[in-house]
Amino acid sequence: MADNKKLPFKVADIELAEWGRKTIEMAEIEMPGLMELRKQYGPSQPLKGARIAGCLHMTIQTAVLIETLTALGAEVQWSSCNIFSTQDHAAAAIAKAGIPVYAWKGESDDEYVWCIEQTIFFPDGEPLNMILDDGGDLTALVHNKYAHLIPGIKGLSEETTTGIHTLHKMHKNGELKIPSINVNDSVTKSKFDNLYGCRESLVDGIKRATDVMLAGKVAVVAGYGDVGKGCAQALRAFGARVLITEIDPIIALQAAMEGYEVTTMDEAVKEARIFVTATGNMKIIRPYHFDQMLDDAIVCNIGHFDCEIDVAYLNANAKRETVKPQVDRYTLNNGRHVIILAEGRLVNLGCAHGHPSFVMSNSFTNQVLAQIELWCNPGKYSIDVHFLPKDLDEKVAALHLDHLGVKLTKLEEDQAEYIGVKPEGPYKPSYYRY
Amino acid sequence: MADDARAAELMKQVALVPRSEKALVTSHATKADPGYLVELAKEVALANSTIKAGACGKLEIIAQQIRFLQEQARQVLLDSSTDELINKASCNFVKKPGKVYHLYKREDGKPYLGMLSPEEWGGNPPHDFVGSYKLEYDMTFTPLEKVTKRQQEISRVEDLFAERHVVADHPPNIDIQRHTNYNIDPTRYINRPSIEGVKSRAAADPTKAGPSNGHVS
Repeated sequence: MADNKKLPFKVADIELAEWGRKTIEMAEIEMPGLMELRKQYGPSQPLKGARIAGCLHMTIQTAVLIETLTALGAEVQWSSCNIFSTQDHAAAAIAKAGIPVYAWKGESDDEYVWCIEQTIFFPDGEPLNMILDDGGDLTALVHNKYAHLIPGIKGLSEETTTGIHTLHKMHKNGELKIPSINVNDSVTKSKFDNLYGCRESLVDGIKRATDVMLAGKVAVVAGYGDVGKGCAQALRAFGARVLITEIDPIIALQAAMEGYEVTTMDEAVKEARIFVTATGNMKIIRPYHFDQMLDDAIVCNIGHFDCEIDVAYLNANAKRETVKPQVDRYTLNNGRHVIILAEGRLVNLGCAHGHPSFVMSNSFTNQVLAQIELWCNPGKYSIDVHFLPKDLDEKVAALHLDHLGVKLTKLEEDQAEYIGVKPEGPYKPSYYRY
Repeated sequence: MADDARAAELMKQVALVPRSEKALVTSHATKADPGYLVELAKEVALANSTIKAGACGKLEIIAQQIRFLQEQARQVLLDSSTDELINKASCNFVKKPGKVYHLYKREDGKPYLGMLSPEEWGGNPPHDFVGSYKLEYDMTFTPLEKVTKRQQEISRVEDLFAERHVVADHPPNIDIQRHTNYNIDPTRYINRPSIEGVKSRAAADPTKAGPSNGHVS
């Protein structure tokens, strides 16, 4: 089954390796969790013997994750979990470091599957024995096409909501065959990535795309979940007056208590200049909204899928003029204009560079700890979807404090006893909401 | 009989010097001998053939050149249509000069450019393989099988450049400006700047102005 003529790597341009390396070195400084793991676990090599097949956006931040896994003793092969998300200089640097990587920006769907398949067998012909996945495509491929390899696979860790949905569905149908850890729902993942990541990358995207002055403008944020909270806070910090739309009374009250005006899109459309959708739902900005907008309103989305803004209506009913890639100015029948960013897809990825390294260090430190947990403790995790234990979640946060100069107060023995925890944690029950 | 007929035909081609108006000699003296006329006619015919042969030779060379140019033109059109086809083929990545890409055709006949060669697909690509092409720095595509030839051409040009640089590195030891008299400013023709450049230079230093705007200063 092993392919003797296996390519050592496949990237767009290996000559970008040097640039990639410089960028990786810069990112390492901003990823203290991963670097601390290298320091703590480097000598003991807990991942020795692990052959990890990874399928996750091949970016600079991921490069730091990959090299952390190899520093801990693992053999790693990588593909990207999105046909457009690879940063070619990151992939080149990883290839140059001798790690088999199969990823480039702009794969076709067939090539995408080819790339993932290259990571199943390692250069010595041995198959993978661990999975690190984002979105569930590698997991599905292994379960469907390489089921005979499953007995050798010790565990899998999943990065994102979509993948977690799939894992739960598979488990419900009795199709899941590998012990799994849900990295997505670690507090240090979703409560940081979504909130603080978007708080920086939303405005980054809007500014790079339009250079618009935010101060004094009226902006509306649809949805006040973790992402919406981050977006609203960022816009307000720039001096924009922020309106919120929300369907959940608890969250609507949260927004109101933060001092935001909570209203409906039908009302907001009359005065807003900037529209941001962050609901995770569909049909948020509809055709009649466009018709009522002020001239040259800026409309963008930061929710996962591109169904929040009805861009299809604009494409069919308005004249489109592309100002630059990812920035389109539509002329409506009423003569007014609407500016759509990233075609209604994630504006922080389309118009900026996604999340900063520091917040990804939180997510990826969870990934590394999940891999160590699964590899070093065979039998501890049943075939199910598990959370990372609370103490490891807390450990991830602890690893990021030094870089920020945080001085943590030590809990004394009697104080710990008073609140019913151990002095070294975990400090919160699993149901705590943070 | 046949010879006579041919002689008569040949003789039609002989243009004798027109007779003078004034008859200075007897008609006998001017009466041409038919045998001689035939000889003369043969000479003319031979000359015609020689001219024709010469002209034909020359025309043949021109024809060859035309055929060669036609072939070149056809090749240029063919190449550019290939380039156009590849450029129009759908492609998800940014194409980079110096890299080799692979052209495939979908079931619906639509071409697309892929990063993987048929070998990299394990000999079993998902669609029909058309060809592999290297993107050159002039944004044209060279079929992979012709890449070596093109490389040789480029290295020949590079050698030429290298030779020129050798000359440039060791210029003859002559102060051209001092040893040559000019009616014009020769610096105008060295590394000729844009019109704006000339104007601004003239404005800054009228003595350096070229002859065309000498009257301004």
